[in-house]
Amino acid sequence: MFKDESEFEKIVNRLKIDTEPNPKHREQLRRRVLSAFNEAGKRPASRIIDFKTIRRKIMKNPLTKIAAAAVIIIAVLIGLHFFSDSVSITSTAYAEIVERLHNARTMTYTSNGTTAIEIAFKKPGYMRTTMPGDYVTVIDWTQGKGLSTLPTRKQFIEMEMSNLPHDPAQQQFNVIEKLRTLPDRADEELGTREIDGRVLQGFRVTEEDVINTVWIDPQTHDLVRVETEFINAPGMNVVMTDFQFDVELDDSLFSLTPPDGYTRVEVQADVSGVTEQDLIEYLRTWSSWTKDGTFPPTFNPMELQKVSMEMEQQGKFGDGQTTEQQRKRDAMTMYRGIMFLTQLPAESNWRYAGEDVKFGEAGTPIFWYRPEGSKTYRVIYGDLSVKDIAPENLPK
Amino acid sequence: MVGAMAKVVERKEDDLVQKARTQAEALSRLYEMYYERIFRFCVHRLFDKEIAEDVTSTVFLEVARSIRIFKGRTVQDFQNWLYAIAANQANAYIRKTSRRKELLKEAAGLMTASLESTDESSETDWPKLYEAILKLKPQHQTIVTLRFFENLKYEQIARILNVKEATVRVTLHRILNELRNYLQNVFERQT
Repeated sequence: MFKDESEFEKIVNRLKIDTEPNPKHREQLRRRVLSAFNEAGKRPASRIIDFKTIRRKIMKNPLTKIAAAAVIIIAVLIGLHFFSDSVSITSTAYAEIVERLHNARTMTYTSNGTTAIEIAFKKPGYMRTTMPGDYVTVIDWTQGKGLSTLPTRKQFIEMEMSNLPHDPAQQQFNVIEKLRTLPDRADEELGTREIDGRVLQGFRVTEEDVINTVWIDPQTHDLVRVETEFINAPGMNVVMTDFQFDVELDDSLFSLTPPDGYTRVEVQADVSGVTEQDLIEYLRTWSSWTKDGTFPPTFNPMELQKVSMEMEQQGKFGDGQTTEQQRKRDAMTMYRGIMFLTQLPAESNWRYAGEDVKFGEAGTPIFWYRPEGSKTYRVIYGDLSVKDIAPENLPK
Repeated sequence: MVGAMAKVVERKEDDLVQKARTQAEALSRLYEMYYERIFRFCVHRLFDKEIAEDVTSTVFLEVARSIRIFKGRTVQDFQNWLYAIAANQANAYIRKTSRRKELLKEAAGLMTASLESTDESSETDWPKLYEAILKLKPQHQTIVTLRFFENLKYEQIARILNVKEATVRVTLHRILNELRNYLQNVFERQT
């Protein structure tokens, strides 16, 4: 047994751990790093420019200059009051929230995109989303099974998701997992800001292609708001509010048993080996459904459910009679197309620009992404043709 | 003379950090300077070379995307920033994969296999020691790795973790007590 630090040090020094790096990985990563650096340089540095511009504007205007000075003085006073401990209270508040997120048995919050969606989570991997109109989806990630209910039609859809990545955090848009695995320390402390009438303390964390901005009430240390920004998929950005932890959530809320009197629409979704062609087929199928031949207005799967219902109510889909078999095939096409997106790596830099574009518009790019290891982008046009395009020639 | 030369080298490296904000070549040189160190840190935190490669990749890709807004000026600032990102990423990995038990087994196996056979080593149950380390909070594991595997000074660990040097000293003292108590309990249960 070791007695003190130096003895412990000796124990560690006697260990032999193989830390020899693999030259192949080193070289491959060097190339990826330089490519990511160049890509970042091409992207408008909105965060940097905005901050600098705002600061410049504040300091040019005498009134805002005084206000800014007042904010700094208040911040310093708050700082003197709270920061007397060896570790700052702000960092502690953030660390507490991370711990709470990590340990939460249950969690509920509202996800505010173009539609407000109520989300409930329960360990080990149950999720329930409720959208306006009581459109409910329950997913059990541990079994890879899901159930959606459509009260207006008295129908339910059972989902059997085979070949999903085993680690839920690997699914790009699994926001809950992203939240629950926030790192211990934020990359940036944003200071205080008034949001919806509350003064909140902000922390920013950047991981891969996701930027999470966490807003905490400095008085109560409650998590108030999280803004999740997907750098490569701006349409997916969400703002989460109304957080509650460890509230009682009955197991029946996550039941995969459909309500009595509902009829089944079954989807067997095999997501193995999805390719670009699956996405093209999805786009083709969607445009065949709409009366005006337009492509989907969004690629956000959550919002798409709501938008589809609205479009149907507005009579934007055609009246074409389809068989049960055809409906199943279409559902599978749609699912595989969306899965192609979610499996694209962060570096693919995909963009969707198909809203209001009609099938057949050959000169209009509607989607582009960079395949892994490729120097050029694959661009899909309105006539669903595909071309390889150099980054400098991409649509602005 | 040697001191003066060291200062010149340091200044050149500091210049490199400034240039890396806009020049790929400078970033490439920094990458070459620090790849091994960050990879080694990741192996010591995660006990698996493949996983360490993944986390190392995440660290450097984040650096590539964020270096333009990095506020540090010196090579020391850059190194602290790198370790801070690596510590965050390693902790996040351990959390999200729920592979703690597997890591533990791998660590225990690795340690048993690579022990130098000395009389002193036989007194300590190596897998248990690593089990004890893995039971620490992620932040505390990071401190152990930075102090004992990376041989960093308290001052530098404090900068990386954004706490006071005294906090690191006190925390490390508590960590060692915690490890000792844990091992003592295990030893007593076995005998």
